[in-house]
Amino acid sequence: MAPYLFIAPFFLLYGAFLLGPTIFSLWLSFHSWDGITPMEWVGGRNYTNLLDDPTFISSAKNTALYAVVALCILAPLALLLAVVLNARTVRAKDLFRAVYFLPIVLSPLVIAIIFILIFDKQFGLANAALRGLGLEPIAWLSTPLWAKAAVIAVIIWRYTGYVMIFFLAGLQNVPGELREAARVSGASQWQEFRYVTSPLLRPVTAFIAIIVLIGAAQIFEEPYILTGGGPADATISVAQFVYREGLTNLNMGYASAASVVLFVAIAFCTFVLVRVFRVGREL
Amino acid sequence: MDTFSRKKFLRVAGGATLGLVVTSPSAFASRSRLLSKKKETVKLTMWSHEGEIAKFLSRRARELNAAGTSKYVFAPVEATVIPLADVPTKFLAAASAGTNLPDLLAIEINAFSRYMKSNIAQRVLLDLTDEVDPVRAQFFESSLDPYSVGGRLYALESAYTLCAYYYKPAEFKKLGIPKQIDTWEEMLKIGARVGAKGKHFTTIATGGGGVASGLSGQFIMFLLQRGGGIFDSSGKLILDSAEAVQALDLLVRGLKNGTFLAVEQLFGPTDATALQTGKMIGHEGADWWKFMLTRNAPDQSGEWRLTPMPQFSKGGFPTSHFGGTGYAIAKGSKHQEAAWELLSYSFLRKRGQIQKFKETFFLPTLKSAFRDPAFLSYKDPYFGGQQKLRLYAKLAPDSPTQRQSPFWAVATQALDRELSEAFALRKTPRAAIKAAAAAVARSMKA
Repeated sequence: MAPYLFIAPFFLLYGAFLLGPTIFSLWLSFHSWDGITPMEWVGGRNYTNLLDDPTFISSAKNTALYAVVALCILAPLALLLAVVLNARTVRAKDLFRAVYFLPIVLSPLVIAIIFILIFDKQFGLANAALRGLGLEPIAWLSTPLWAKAAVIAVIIWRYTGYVMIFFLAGLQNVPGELREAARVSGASQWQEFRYVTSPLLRPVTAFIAIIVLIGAAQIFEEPYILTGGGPADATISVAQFVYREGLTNLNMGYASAASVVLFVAIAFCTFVLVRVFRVGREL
Repeated sequence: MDTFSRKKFLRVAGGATLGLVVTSPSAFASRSRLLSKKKETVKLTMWSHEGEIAKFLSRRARELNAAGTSKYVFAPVEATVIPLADVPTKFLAAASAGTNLPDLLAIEINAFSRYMKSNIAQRVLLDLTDEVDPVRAQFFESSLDPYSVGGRLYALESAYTLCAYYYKPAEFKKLGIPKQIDTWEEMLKIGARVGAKGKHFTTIATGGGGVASGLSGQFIMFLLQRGGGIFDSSGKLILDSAEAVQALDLLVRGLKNGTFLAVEQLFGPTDATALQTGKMIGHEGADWWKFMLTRNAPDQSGEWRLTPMPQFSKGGFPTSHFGGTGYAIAKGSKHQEAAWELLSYSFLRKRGQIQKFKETFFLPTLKSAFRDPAFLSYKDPYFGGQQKLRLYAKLAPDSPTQRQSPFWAVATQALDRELSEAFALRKTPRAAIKAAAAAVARSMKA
């Protein structure tokens, strides 16, 4: 009895705050509900409406873009920074670590205000630089393409340092003698990284890829505060769509359907990543 | 009987008599009468996105206590300040749970539509109709209508958000601009010349949109002034109209020829920069737009004045409305009567309304306030001592009404999308309005 009592708190909390709401959300997705009046069963109508909703389609495409950028640009950039910071010749490593990590601890509101000022067409730093180079200013936050670029830039700026810390921890666990042995055997830096460091970093890389994917798929703050999801839904994410439908438009069932779709998509992509990185299998 | 026995007898008899007196029904009645004069102390709680009205109500509570006419003793109103967008979310969650509800609730005008959906208002807010009806005619209908569902009133507007045009006379004189520009079309003509010199008649939010961007809100202000609307009084969608196209066309042409300056968000850092760098020589705005000036450009005190907004030459109103906040009583409040007593004392009387202006600078919603000579003689120091209330008194009787709908949020989201397309010249104003109206119509059918 005692062992079960010891592990019970976790399961109770897990059930109450994760499993319970997840199951309720799934149940809710088959209903129409405003949060106050009685729920009304609508079957799969919420899901079929999602397929016809141009805003949801935009949000799904944007979220997929953010996830791809996070996996293909943010994570490799974080790895590069970690490799550089891990080099023996770099001084003041703690200072660099702190500076790169700082964006993640800043308030999203502060970040949004600063970047609105940076990207403002009239007064922004970005356009001041462009004007200085003799180029035409860009309407960063009012043009769909550039608004996406602006949001992606903020996401990369904000999370690269955070992800870098994980890679740095992984790199510091790679035995130095293996790398030295490779160097002594005549391997170049790239070969040393590819054949010695990278395979040993695989578990950390798998972990980072999965958390980066999940984080990017659930992105909310940056597009919400910077552009409100606009212009013309160019930057809206699925998380913002869920928030808007659920809490602003009081379509809780519809919002739940969108969140279920997001959950399934994330679960599928996570499964794919687990297979790609051969998590749980020998090197 | 000896002395001791007599004393003892008297003691016992006296005690018995006293006991009879104390426990008799008439004695209870006397005690009850005494107890009933003891007043109930009430501490009202409020959820709001700003704290000024709570302070105002606390001062009115002190007045009520001093007057001694209420059966309550009011403690200062305890306000919880919550971000604007979160107030309805938090309240509806609490209402759904049925616990931890505030007594008073601030409802931003554009958020009231969330209470209209499935007539949630009837379930969670106290119906004020019967209390207000006897005095309703004394108030501007456009201040009450936006907080009504099915003809029932649920909140009292705290600020009659009349719009005027704020401008800098010295800049106008330097640029050879007449003090009073009668129409927007005239402003566009002058604006082309003035814009080329890096000065602009107002800023227009053209960014991505969102809750605080002002993107759709500013357009709606122009739309209402033009005499249009998103919904009519029966809730029918009327967005796809000539008025809407004309209002949007004005903004697009103004941005194109430099009359208006594009900013990412209204009231945001870039709007403030336009003000501080002198690029903005005027701005249309509600009464509370004054805070934009006092907070971001205190050094420009005395340089600004107020004048009536230009009008649309094809018709409409001399003024408009932008924003507003109603104050409601939660149905789950344990102090409904006390809350109503304080709210009605503060909002339904002329003295309270004028006092509200003096303490918060929010315009009264009571017609008689605008006929009070003492009130109208107020000189605003930021505007160089201008008696601006005389201007508002002229505008007040002829202002449009924001007709609400449960689909108001859907409409503003659709407008955010399409307005940015129009401002970026990716769609014509007509196409943008049609697309926005079609999106709202789809949601209304679903």
